[in-house]
Amino acid sequence: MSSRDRADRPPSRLRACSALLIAALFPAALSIPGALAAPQHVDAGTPRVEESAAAEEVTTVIQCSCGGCVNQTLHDCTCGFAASQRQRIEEAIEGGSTPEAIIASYVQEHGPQIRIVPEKSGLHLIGWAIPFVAAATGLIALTVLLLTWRRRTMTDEAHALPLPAETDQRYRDRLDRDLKEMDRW
Amino acid sequence: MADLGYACLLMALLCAVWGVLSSWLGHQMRHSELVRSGENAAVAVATLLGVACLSLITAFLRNDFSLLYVAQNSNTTQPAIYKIAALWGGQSGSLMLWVFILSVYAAIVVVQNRRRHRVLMPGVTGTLLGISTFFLFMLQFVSNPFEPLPRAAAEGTGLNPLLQNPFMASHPPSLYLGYVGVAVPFAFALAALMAGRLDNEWITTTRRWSLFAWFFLGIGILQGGYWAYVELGWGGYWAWDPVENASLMPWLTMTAFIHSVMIQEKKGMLKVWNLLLIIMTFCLSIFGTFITRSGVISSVHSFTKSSLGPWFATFWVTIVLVSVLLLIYRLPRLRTENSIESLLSRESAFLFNNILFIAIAFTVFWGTVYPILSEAIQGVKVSIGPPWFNQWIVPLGLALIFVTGVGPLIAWRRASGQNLIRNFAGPIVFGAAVGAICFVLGVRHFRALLSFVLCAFVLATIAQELWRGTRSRMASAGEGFLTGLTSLILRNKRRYGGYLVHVGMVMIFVGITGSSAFQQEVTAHIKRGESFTIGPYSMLFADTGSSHDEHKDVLSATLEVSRDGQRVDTLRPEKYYYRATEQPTTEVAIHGLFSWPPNLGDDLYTILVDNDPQGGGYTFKAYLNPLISWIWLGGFVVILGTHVAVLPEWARVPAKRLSSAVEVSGVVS
Repeated sequence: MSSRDRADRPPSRLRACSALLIAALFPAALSIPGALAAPQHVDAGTPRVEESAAAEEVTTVIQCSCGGCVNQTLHDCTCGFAASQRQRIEEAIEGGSTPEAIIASYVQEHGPQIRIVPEKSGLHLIGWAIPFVAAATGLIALTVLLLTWRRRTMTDEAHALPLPAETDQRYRDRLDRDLKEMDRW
Repeated sequence: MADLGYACLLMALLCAVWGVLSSWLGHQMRHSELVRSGENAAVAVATLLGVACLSLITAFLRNDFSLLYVAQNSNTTQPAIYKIAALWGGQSGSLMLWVFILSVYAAIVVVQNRRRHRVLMPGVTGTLLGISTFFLFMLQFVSNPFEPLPRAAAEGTGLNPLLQNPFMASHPPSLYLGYVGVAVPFAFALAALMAGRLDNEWITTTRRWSLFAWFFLGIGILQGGYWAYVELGWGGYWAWDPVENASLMPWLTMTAFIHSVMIQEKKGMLKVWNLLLIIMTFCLSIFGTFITRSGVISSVHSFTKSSLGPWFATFWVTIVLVSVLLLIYRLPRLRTENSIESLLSRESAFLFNNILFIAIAFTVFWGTVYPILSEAIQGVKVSIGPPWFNQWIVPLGLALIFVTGVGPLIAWRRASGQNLIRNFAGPIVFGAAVGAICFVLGVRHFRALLSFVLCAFVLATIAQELWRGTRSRMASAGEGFLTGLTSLILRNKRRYGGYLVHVGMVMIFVGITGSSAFQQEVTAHIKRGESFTIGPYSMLFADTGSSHDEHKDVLSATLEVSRDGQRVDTLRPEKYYYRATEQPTTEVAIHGLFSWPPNLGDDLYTILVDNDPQGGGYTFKAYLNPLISWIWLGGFVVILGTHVAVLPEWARVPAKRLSSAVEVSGVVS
């Protein structure tokens, strides 16, 4: 069998390897739905889950201010201070406070930095929007630049001395070959 | 030994200053002996700093608490490995490590290039020694690790317990190898600007240095993530902490640079952009060091507020000014040789890739400095936490995955419709199929679904490339599949090493997606004999234990883990109480990648939060982190790919023999 014949026929080992690659990389992804479907609970008869849904509305917004847990919410932080704050919030919820009121009391007590992110209001809106504006500006500027360059290339090509079609094509093929070569190294 | 170290620091500073002066004078006066003297000064600085570092390590090992730095970062009960790691556990020691690594790099650069790049070398030596001079000045006059105590302490405070972890021993040096490594391409870029040698010489000379710095920054970031995961006990690996951000920013711009230089090498374009990128990367690397050292931004990593801030700010501004002014001065000579012909071309794809990297880097930068700006402008302190970053980084990251798939396959110059169909039809179909399967199986999280589709698309483009290339080798050289695949990779290590890195990055993206979109958690207060469940796992609280060694008390709990009724593992989350610092730390227990047998699907992550000695109740927190192992596995693949990419080319293959193979591979339309 010639080497050309071998190339024309998709090699089974290659297929097997491709399948293996895919099989290796995606079974875990396929296991996600099971994990998603699994209930989040503690066994019957064991004590309660620590946070109620209403308390979680607070603990996921307020940072732990123990000093050692920067950028962690009361919900995530495992230090003793966070645990005591979770308890405090739970008690406030049970006492009839709303999550919004508890958040407001934290902000009043510690200042706006107690929130894990600033509110989307006032000057902070600019802070929220700047990354989007910057990325959009960059992408638009690049597109405009590329279109300008392309137009310039087309203008240059239009003003260039015409070559015989065969010669022109030869040079283009040569350029493509050279680029391919460079791509190899 | 401390006196020797102190003397070495002082001599190193003098040598560095001399090196800068002699390099500059030698270049101006065209005096080769002066230039040579500057180069020798670089080697001398490395030697002297080596001795200084050894002196400090010896002081740690000998418990020399007459030195303030040793007393602050060590104690007699600290294990020897952490006594050595304490070298970079505090401010002045880590600054000394920074400049020591830089001096070693400078010495290697001098030895490698003193004969090859005569025109660039004075600028390179001068720049590297100039940076060293700043750090040595700081060490000598602002934060000296050999500063003595008025009276020797009887016992040291000890290293922060959180830092007493094997990954903490290796994570900072890795990051420093990366941070400092950026200085080499930066020095060559500056030297090229000074000497007016604006061709590709500085890029080709520093290609491996760039990859080296990029690699160690990346590995350092991953190690830091793993340390946070196993040590901080909050179930995650990345919290958008300012110091984490500080290491990510130069990595992002360096990645953009590594991609962008290919356009300059192949088409003579983007010269200004590449210079800007490397300047930006170095400035961000210094910015990162500034953030860590100055304490201007609160972070779990940062040292206490110190007097270093204004010095670093001045140095940073100086570097920016000098670099930008030089760039502006040379701007007329940096005109591009070619132009982009089409929006649908590899050049364009690389540029979009660059813009996305820069957009992500800018977003991270903005989020990091926004609290300072808010306080300065409004007088109001705010915090910028993970939800803010995720809102912007996730869509930009998804766009980046897409470009990762498109870039390597689209044609140079101008892609035809035929080229697009030929290269992308298969991967698009595969990506869509994976998306459909995930949807059918119940994945409804839109961003996660999109991420899986894009990851599948990128993997398919790479698999297709490997398939076509291997097939062409089999056809042209008559090789078998494995031989063909191996020789394909070995004959173009840079390209296929790059593909391997892309595979690793895709795996990391899969891991990030799974663990962030589908994480579950449960907190349970239970007594011995009771159990709780999370996802498919059930955990029986079987036993408790306590022990102690010479520097800490340990409280542990035994959890018998079952899945679908089958016992799969026994986990022992612990809590350490360090006597010296009276600081408790959590030691998590994980059923995951490093369990036996390894569990690749998800990590069961357990924490012993608290115990109630009176009531006998224990509080546990458990997280189920799907796919998180893929982040660490992806890291290994990135390591492998980078090693392949930097391997030297053994022999060039005649162009004619290769051209047919490339045509078959369809890289170019």
